[in-house]
Amino acid sequence: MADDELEGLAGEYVLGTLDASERNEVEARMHREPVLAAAVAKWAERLQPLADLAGETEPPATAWSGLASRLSAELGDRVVRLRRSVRRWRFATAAALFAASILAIVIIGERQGEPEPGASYVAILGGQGGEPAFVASVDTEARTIRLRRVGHAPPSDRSFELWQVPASGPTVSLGTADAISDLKPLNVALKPGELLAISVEPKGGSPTGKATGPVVFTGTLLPAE
Amino acid sequence: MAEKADADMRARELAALLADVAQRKEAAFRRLYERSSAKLFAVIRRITVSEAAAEEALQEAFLRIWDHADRFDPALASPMTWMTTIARHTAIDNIRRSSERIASTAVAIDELLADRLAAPEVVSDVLASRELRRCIDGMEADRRGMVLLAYCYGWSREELSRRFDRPVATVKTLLRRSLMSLKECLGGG
Repeated sequence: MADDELEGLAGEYVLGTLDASERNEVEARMHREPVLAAAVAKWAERLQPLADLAGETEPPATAWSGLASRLSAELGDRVVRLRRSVRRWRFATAAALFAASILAIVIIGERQGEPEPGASYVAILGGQGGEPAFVASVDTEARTIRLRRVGHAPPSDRSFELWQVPASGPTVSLGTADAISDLKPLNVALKPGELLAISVEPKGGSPTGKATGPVVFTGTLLPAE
Repeated sequence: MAEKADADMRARELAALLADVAQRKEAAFRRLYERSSAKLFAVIRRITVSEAAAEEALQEAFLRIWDHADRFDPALASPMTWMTTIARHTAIDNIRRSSERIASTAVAIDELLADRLAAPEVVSDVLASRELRRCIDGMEADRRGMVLLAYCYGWSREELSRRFDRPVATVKTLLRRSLMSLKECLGGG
């Protein structure tokens, strides 16, 4: 009996006759109930010959271009949310740095604010979803930063550009980040707690020296050991 | 047999593309679109009322495919079947949101549909299609009509209720009974 109910629900799900709330419920349950997910998949296979009957109709060429721009608009929405979180993080970073500087004064007053010679720092730069996109490692003695890409490449007509985002004052470009792994000379002193960000720019990097495109990934430098 | 091998190869290629799309590879997404959009567009076009609505639904379907590619499980379904389910549901969502559909439900049941079920040039799995045809042929006419209108044209229980002059609850019961007999006829597996 329960089997018939599950089969009927799965079959109607594939048939398309469930109303919106019933359908949402089936979709939510499919994640938790492999039996239901398997029943749905079987119904889809059973009825697929009816879909094949429709044959093939070439969609208009505008369908792909519209799809591509909707996809980048979706990415854009994510970027606006990221920008907000960058502002929040900037504030949080400033507060954390302030707290850290007080601690430093109390514990080792004279070394406050100075990067240690030969120190290494790392930052994991990620997007809104939290998945890592780049790993940055700074070698203060060699004055280099290594960027290792672990996420996807930029669109072919765009470049990723890495930025230092100081708590106050203008952002500083640290160069483009299109290669899967890139060792760059560092033209600025970076400290733990420093915020790094990656924006999407025209191919070859921002023409203005400031980020012009959306900020897609951010991360904070931490001592490597 | 050559067709079967061909279909298997295409399925493997689509599955690999879906795996790449799940990794957010945009080039793979473009290839997936090139390989599957004509089939999905044909499926969507049967459900939607206009070419413009079909184009809109196709784009939405591919955005869903992009978003959920990581949920595709090749052990459960073939890639084309998985994408077809998404495309049909997207098209159905679109027509149920708009009212234009209600006025245009004069679509005649395609009586030829069942006859064409065994046409090998359009159906990827000829054996499955012949079996399905045999079972659909065996159904009582109204029930066959309901199943075909729902699956191929996206008719809701309410629309079927008006077309067949039966209460909505009866339509639901008849659909489920039809599905059960179809499953049994196809061997239950």
